[in-house]
Amino acid sequence: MNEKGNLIIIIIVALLAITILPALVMMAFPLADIIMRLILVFLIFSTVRGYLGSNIFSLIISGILIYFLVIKYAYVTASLYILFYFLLVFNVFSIIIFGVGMGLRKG
Amino acid sequence: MIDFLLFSFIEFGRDMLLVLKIFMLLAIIAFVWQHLGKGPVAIVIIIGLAYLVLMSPYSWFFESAFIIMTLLMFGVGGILIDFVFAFPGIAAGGAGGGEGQIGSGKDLSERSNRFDQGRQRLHPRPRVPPPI
Repeated sequence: MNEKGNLIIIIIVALLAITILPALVMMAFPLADIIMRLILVFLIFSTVRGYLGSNIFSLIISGILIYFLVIKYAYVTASLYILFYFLLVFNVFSIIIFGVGMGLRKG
Repeated sequence: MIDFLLFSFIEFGRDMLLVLKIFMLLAIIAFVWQHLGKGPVAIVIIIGLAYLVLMSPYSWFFESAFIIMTLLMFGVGGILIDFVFAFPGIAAGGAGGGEGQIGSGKDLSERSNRFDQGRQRLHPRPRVPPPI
């Protein structure tokens, strides 16, 4: 594989490492785990209430989603939350791609 | 162990599919309520759309489209554009180590100068005598 292929693999590995980081932090620090779960609960409830309004139906749907996303698969959801809401929306991935790409190209 | 892992992956996939279907149902309900209000017609249309999108044999298409739409909404297209800018060789076609087709500003100005020279050769401007 040539140099450019290696560069792409290094960038993908860097992105994956940053994506896995929230789950590792949650495993290492229980307080971070609790805070992240609270944030996810608020996020899910506000999202569902934004779609359906304040009624009993939104409470039921929120309950189902909270069971699956916050209780059962909290680490996956936290990683996806950090990935989408912080890295993608604020274009942090662009900085990483350019940083890794330019840094390795010079070196 | 392998059975356990396989079962876990299958269970995870099923759960995520259920979550995806719930989000799609929310999107359908919000879309119909926004356009038709909360009357009986809206409920009938919600039921019909929910059947078509969530339970029909073509549901895989709508699920894929919803995932792609959500990813694009979050800005995954920007990552692809960044890759193209960081590695111009990909945009030029092929994974070779050559330079991209766009190149730098210097290349661009050289190409522009060559284009102007060629145009001068094809359509020479008549010389105007200097003013007295």
